[in-house]
Amino acid sequence: MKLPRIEAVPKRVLLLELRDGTFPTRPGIDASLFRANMMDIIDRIEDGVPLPGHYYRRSVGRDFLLERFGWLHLHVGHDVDDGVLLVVEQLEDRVILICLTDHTIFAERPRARSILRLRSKVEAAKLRRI
Amino acid sequence: MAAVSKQQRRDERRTRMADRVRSGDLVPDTESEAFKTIVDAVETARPVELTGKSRDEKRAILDRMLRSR
Repeated sequence: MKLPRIEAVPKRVLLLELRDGTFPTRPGIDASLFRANMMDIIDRIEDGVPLPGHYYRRSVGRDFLLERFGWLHLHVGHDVDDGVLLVVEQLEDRVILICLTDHTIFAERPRARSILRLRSKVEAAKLRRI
Repeated sequence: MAAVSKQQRRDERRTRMADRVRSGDLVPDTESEAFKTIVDAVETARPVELTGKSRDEKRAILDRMLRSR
């Protein structure tokens, strides 16, 4: 799905997990600071409640992540650190939380190269029967 | 001194490379099979499902997964 917003219907939520048991996070970001906002996002997705507008921000130009991979970037850093993004993929019945990163992914060449390696994990998560 | 097995050395090498990939120091130009093998060997593809768990359980999972490295 390549919708610019999370649909307001109840969906299951999954997170990618690295071998060390942590959520994929760009070095330098203290993931624990975003726990409350992530819980808020997870609860709303599971309940089918629309996410507040502050988690979305109109992209300047084309949204590469959405167009290329169907990945949404949510501004999970609201009220904590505006630069931090939660990258997710939305399917019809579930949402996969992929990683915490920041806006530097849009300046990388090739674009978003630091998180491209997670694609195979996302595909594996999609194949998992739940 | 205990001998370091071939497997151990291989695991250590993969871990070092994965750390470099994770830190952004090592970036593959292409999605080569060798790169995928390294990443697949070091990281699990296991997704963690939150739905169906209690609020406390979800908090505990997030606490564990969002801890600083």
